[in-house]
Amino acid sequence: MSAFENLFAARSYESMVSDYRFLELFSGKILDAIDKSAFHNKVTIFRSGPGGGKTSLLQLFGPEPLLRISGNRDVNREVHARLKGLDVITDDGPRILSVYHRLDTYDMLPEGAQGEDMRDIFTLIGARLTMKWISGILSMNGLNHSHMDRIKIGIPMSGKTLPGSPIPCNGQELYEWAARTEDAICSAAGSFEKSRSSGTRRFAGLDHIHMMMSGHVSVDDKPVAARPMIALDDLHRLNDMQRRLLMEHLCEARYPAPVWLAERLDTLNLEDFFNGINGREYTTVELEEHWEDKGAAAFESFARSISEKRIQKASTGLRIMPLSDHLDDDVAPQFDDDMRAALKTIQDRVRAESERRPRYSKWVARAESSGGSSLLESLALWKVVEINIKRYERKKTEPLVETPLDDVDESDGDRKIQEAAELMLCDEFNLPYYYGFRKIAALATFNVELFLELASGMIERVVAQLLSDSGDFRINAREQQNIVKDIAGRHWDDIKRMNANGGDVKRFLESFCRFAGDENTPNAPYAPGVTGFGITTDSWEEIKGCREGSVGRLNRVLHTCLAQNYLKLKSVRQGRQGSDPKAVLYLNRLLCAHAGLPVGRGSWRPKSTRDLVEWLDGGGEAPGRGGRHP
Amino acid sequence: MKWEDYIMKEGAAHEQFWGDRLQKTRNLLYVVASGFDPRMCDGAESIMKKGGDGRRDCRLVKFYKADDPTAASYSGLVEANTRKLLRLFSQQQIQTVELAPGPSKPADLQRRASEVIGAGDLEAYTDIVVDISSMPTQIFFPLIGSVMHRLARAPPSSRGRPNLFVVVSENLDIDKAITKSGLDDEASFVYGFIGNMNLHAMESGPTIWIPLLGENRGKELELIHQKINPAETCPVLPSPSRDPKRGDRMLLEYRDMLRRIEMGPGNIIYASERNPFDVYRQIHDAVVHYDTVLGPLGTYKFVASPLSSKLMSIGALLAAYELTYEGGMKQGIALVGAAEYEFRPPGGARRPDLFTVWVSGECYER
Repeated sequence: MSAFENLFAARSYESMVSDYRFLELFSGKILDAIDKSAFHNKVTIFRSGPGGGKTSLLQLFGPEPLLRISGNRDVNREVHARLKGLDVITDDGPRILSVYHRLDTYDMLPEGAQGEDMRDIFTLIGARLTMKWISGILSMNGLNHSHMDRIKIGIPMSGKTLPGSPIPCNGQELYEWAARTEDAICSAAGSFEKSRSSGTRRFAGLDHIHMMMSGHVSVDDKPVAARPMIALDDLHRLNDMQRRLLMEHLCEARYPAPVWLAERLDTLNLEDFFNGINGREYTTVELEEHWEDKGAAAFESFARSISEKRIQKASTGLRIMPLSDHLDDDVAPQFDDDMRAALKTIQDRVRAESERRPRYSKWVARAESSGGSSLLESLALWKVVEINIKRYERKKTEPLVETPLDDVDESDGDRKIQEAAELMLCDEFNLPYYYGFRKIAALATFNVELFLELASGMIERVVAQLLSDSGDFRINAREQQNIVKDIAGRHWDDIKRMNANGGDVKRFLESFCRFAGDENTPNAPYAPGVTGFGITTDSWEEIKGCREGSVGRLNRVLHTCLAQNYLKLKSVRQGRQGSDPKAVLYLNRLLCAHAGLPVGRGSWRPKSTRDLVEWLDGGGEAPGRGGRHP
Repeated sequence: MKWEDYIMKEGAAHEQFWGDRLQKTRNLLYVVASGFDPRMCDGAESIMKKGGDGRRDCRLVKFYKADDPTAASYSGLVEANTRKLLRLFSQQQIQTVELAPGPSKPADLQRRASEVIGAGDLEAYTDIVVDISSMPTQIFFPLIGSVMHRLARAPPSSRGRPNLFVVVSENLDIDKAITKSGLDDEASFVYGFIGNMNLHAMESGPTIWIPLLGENRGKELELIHQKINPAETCPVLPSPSRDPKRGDRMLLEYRDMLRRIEMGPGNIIYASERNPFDVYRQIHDAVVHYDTVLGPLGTYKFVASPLSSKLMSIGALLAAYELTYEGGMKQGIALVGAAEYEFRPPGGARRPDLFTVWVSGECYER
């Protein structure tokens, strides 16, 4: 039996695989999100929801990955070319020395974060950056920790020294000083032993960065050429005060190095989501926004690239092809019988209607003559006619003289009706809808981790089959849909489990899904279907800043939904009228799959604050057709 | 080993023990957490009914915020428990301590929990009883650990060395009926038991993880595993157990994860479901063993995660305390916080069993 390592399952793979494997699996397309200015001496903030790819991006610039790729472009030619384009590496090696640090263990420090407390935080971050910087220099020079004494640190030309540190000194002495500082602060902060080591100097800033400037640092008397860059991950793990003060300090201090910060969206206020962040002192890079701006095709291409790299590295002895080749993107021929039966049902209904109402005769004749290139296409064609009939029936009053109607225009609206028709057919005749690589990539809603989770589920099925039968294998549409539904169901259940206000959030989204399902009536009034809701300017004025009562609850629910990517905000419009939409919030596409809603961006309906508050308690519109709602 | 010999009383022996003990004059401080758990007042009821002379005070720990959704959902149960407590202690005898007066991160709550019993209490009382029946693990670890730490550092003959007891009303059916929701998205270390997990200088060393398994804790196990990325995992299973197949069922429940992390059967630690001192001994021995084996590597870390019953968790607390504060080894405790709890009262649940675990005091000084 062949061994198989499911590299799709290693989602937070940056911490689980070697640098070499990390580089091999990295898709360089994400590097389009940054430009050369990110390496200037300023603060850049990377934001995304969980699993958006922040950590992977920051860790790519670590000394080991850069060293490895600068010396061997074959590890990943795409990444090599892009890093070269950004002037991060040359043929001689990396030009920057990134000092990466996760801010995930600072919550043990006192919450006040004022004065002395903030000094503890700066001192601790500085000590840890110092140790990581020394480790980075060692890595860049192919040395290990037993060689620290070969590093020499002189007094910076800026004259900004670190009082209490042993500088000028060697790397060993500086590392030990930093380790003692770290131990002294951590021992006092996280332990029942309250006493602080009295000899530990505390800093009011990150002056350690000045010390890292090249020019006075050498290894074996050769100057360290690479410029330092500070990469602080998980800024959201700090408490609010710590985070605010650290960001303010980094923006004001203007350290002579690029400073990258990465955080999740939950640090933003609800107002920030709606109004956008306009920091003059820093640049923001929103990773999911980046993909959304580039369009679904760009993310699909990114997802394809990620999956191909993983397949290439994982296929040991099994005939595993690119993931898209293992996914049926057609329901035929497996569902041909079902589709024939469905086609007959719809044709009978439409023909009967046409016999009753001759005005539809031209539409029916066109459907009869077109045929469609496949069974599914024919089915969709007839379904569109049926939808158009339903629409006409609702809109028009009885004509005095029954005359055949002209053809419906081929237009964008017609394409949307086709999409609606496809979903309705799948719903009515129990045909699969969520299948094919394009839809799988779209379901990820521009989130790398979600895509990997979906791909992991698919690839495990492929491997299970290939282990027992080495022939070609494609997962049929039904099985793909089952895998999608399983994963979507798990995410749906996690909404309650993983959020402090999870009960409210889940009820709210359930209400929305119920509403969206009810709006998708047989005449497809909002084709391809409702997947979002609009908040009017008046409602927004009421919701923003409100912390109390049911509107306060709504505020917190909307915040959680946006921070966790359960809802995606789009089309922010600066409406002048109170009834103009301020923003539209669309349901995450994976959650759409759980609720039986369309994959593509659907339509939206405006909602008042009162409607939204009713959704919190599961109220609002009465439940509609069964089976489609979560 | 600090608790080579120990005193623990269960059921009728617990009743007998407190009946005898309160024959003499004792100044007793009873610490209990406010909540919906139907076992909240079992221990207090049992002990207060014994009567006796001396001071009787209660410290009621509120670990949730005023607008906590769990408290709101189960306000009826919380009020019923409070009324029951008021039948055992007068209003004047009860002092309420709010651990979350405002928005607080888990570490803030835990830090405040470590201050629930102050230096003055150690002098004022002869017996301090911490009832953990309705107290979350993240709260009772720092609360009890800090008292043990203070007691160990008080001069031997001085006042201010009261006896410390942990009381728990144990019922697995009720444990299973309480589920966490609103989990933190990342595991964290418990205040006082961070070990050396946050030291960069120790980052390169392997981590040995000892999770105490309980039912329905898969998500928490995953999150803790993600956080500490252990080189070796030694799960603790309850055996002997009232239900001999309980451990097997847990292996089935977590088989995917255990297979993925390539844990061999030799790593499993078995410890008695109803004896925290056995749990303590097993964890202690495992850590000492690994310490001997890994010693030449220089840097390595130990982390335990009590996801089991309260009773077994006491064993993890004793081991972590001794190794960290008296053994010089620093063992971390990693858990996943939760914002909400759900409780579906089980039908036909067994009556809870009361246990008294004597943790510190005169019996260990003789």
